[in-house]
Amino acid sequence: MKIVAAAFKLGPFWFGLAFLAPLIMAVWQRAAWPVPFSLSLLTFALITGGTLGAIATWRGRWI
Amino acid sequence: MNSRADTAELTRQERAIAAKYQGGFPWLMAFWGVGNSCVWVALWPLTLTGLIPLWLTFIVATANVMLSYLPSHDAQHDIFIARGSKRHWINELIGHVSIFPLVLAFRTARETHLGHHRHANDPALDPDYPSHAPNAWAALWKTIENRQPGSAGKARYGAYLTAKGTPAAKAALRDGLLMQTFFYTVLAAMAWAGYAIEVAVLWWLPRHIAQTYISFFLSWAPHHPAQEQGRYRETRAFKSRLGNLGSMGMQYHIVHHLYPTIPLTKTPAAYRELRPILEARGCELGGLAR
Repeated sequence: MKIVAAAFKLGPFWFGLAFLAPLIMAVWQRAAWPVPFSLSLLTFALITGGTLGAIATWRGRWI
Repeated sequence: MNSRADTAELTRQERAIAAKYQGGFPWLMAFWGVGNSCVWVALWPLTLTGLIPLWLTFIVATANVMLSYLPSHDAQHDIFIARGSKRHWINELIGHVSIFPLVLAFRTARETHLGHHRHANDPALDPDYPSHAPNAWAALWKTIENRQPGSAGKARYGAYLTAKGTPAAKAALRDGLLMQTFFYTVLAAMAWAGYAIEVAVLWWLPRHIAQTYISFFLSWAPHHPAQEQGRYRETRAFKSRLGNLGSMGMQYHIVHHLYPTIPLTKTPAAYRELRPILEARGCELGGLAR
């Protein structure tokens, strides 16, 4: 239980990597948008999702 | 008659009316709860195999998650089958099955909701107090605020259950954590398996919309302005622009707080009969004539 509770403290960061990143990938692919900076789509999605999650963890809010 | 005798007579009349609407098995609520969850579960294979379009999934799933709370709410008050009966498990089953799409564990919902009844509008003790806001727009914004990771509103149920500390509260806390863990695990697994958009429209986005709707209509609206406590002043009747169906029966929420074992579907009729007594009690009825 304590491990789960501790994991929840970093919840937004995990959420960014585990869910937002593949969601960004799927949306990007479906829309056929170009990936910036010549990155692979996976790298771009992990950086974007992870950064959004890290910011949300730090600020304590998504918006 | 002196005022004490008047009050006693009002109480006698009130209880006699309420008793007419208590009891019986609320079949509509049972079908609503179980049927709604079945439709939502059926959406998964239909969506993942591409048999129905994503926009249709999104609309139906959003309706499903919005509809998932109230049948469970009747179960939280043991309305389907009373506690102590051999068939009480049916009540519990309906409660667990119906609320599942909302990602709110039944025992978590029950413990915190009964706490809300005990402490309605108490800033320190009412688990639903964070939904309070000065007006409708502020209430809508508050529902979003309360879902931010670091907000006190998001931590409120956990804090309430931890402070309560009873075996039931600990079980409710554990169920809540397990439910959240299951939800996010499914989201992540489905997303990395190539179904990110599908799981977003089946569960993630509908749940956000439903949480806003439920917090607004089931928590904020019936208690606004939420500045008073006590049996006849902690909640109110109100006229919703979306009508009784659009507000899911919450116009008559005052009846529920007075007599929590009256099924949701009977609260309008009970209200109409109780109205003169509620007026005499000085309740806030918001111009709701019928």
